[in-house]
Amino acid sequence: MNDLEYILDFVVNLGGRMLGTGANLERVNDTMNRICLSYHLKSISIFSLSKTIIVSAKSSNNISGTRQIAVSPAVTHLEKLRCLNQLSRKVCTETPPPHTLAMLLDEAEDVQEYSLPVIIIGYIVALTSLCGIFGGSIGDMFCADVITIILFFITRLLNKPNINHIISNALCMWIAGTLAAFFVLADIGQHFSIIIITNSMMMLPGIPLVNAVRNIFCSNEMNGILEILKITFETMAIVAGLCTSIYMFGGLIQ
Amino acid sequence: MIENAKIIIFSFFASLGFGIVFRIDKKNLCLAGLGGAITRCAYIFLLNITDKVFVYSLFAAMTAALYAECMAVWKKMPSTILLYPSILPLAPGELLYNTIVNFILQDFEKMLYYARECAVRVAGISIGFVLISTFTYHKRVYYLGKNFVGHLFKKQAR
Repeated sequence: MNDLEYILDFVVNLGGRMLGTGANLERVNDTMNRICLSYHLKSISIFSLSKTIIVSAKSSNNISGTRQIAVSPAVTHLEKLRCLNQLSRKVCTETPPPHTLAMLLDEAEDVQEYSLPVIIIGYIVALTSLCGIFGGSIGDMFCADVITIILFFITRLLNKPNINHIISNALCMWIAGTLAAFFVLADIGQHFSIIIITNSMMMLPGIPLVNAVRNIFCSNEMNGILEILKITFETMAIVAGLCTSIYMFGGLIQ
Repeated sequence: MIENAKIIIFSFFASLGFGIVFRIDKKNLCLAGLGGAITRCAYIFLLNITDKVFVYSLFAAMTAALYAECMAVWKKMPSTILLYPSILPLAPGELLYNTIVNFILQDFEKMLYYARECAVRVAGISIGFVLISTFTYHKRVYYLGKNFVGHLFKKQAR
C-alpha cells in the first residue's frame, strides 16, 4: 500500500466511525477534508450520506485514489466521538506517518464503557425526570421506569438478529402502550398519556430529525431528505404500535 | 416559581441521564445536565414573553446551541456532545402524542392543530441549531475582532 491509500483508508474509516457514533454529516465532511489537506492531497472530492462515504483525492506526485465504505449502524457514543475528534485534531497538527494511522484509529476507539447497570440507571434518571417535567405522579414515574427497563432489554434482544428498526419500533411501542394501560388499570399509574409520552421520548427520533433538517439547511439536501423519509417511517411505526395498543386495551382505562 | 424551579431541576437530571445513555464521559456529565437546565430556564423565560411556539423554540434551541459551542471551545470537544443532551427536554413528545390520540379519536381539527404545533417546534429547534452552528462554524463567535468565546474564558484569540 502506498501513502495515499493509507491516508484515504484512514479518512473514510474515521468518517464512518464518527457518523456511527453520532456526529453530524457537516462535521464529518469538514474533518475528512481537513485531514486530506493536512497531508497535502489535491483534487479532494467527498460524497457522504449517513450510510455511505466516498472520498477521492490525488497525492502530491499525482497518484489518484478513491475509497468507499458503507457506514455500519451503531449506538450514539459521544465519548468515542470526542476521542475520534481529538485524533482528527492530532492528525491534522502532527501529520503522523500514514502507515501508523490505522493503529491510531483503533487506539482512539478504546474508551472506557459504562456498565449495563449504569446505562439502565441513566435511562431511569432521564425518564423519571422527564415524567416529572410532564407533570406525572410518583406512580407514573415508577410505571415509566419499569416500562423503560423492559423496553431496553427488548430493544437489545431485537437488535441482535438485526430486525428492521421500523418493525422493532412498532413492537416496542405496542408493548409500552399495553403495559401502560395495565398499570393504569391496576391503579399503579394514574395518567396513561404521561406514561406513554415519557416512554415515547426514549424512541422518538428527535435528534435525527433535527440533524436531517440541519442537513437540508447546510446544503446536504439529499441526505436530509432521505433521513426525513426514514424518520417519517419510524415515527409512523411508533404511531402504529401505540394505536394498536390503544385500540386493543384503551377501553380498559376509559 | 417553585414549580419552575422543580422543572429546571428535573431538566438537569433528564439531561444528565441522557448523558449517561449517550455515553458521555463522567467528567462532562454535569456540563450536560447544566445544558439541560440552562435550556429549560431560557424556555420558561421565553414562554413568559411570547406564546409563539416557533419563537420560543427557536431561541431556546439557540441558547442550547450557544452553550454547547462555548463549552466545545473551552473543553476542545465537538459541540454535539453537549448539544444532544441539552436539547432533549425540548423534544415535542407531548405534541406528537396528542396528534396521535386525536388521529385515533378522528378529531382531525385538533389533530392538525397539534401536528402543526409539533412541526413548528421541530422547525424552530432545527433553525436555532443551524443559525448558531453556521455562525460559530465560520467565525467561532468573533465579536469586535476578538474571539468572544476565548475572551469569555480568558484565552487569547487565535
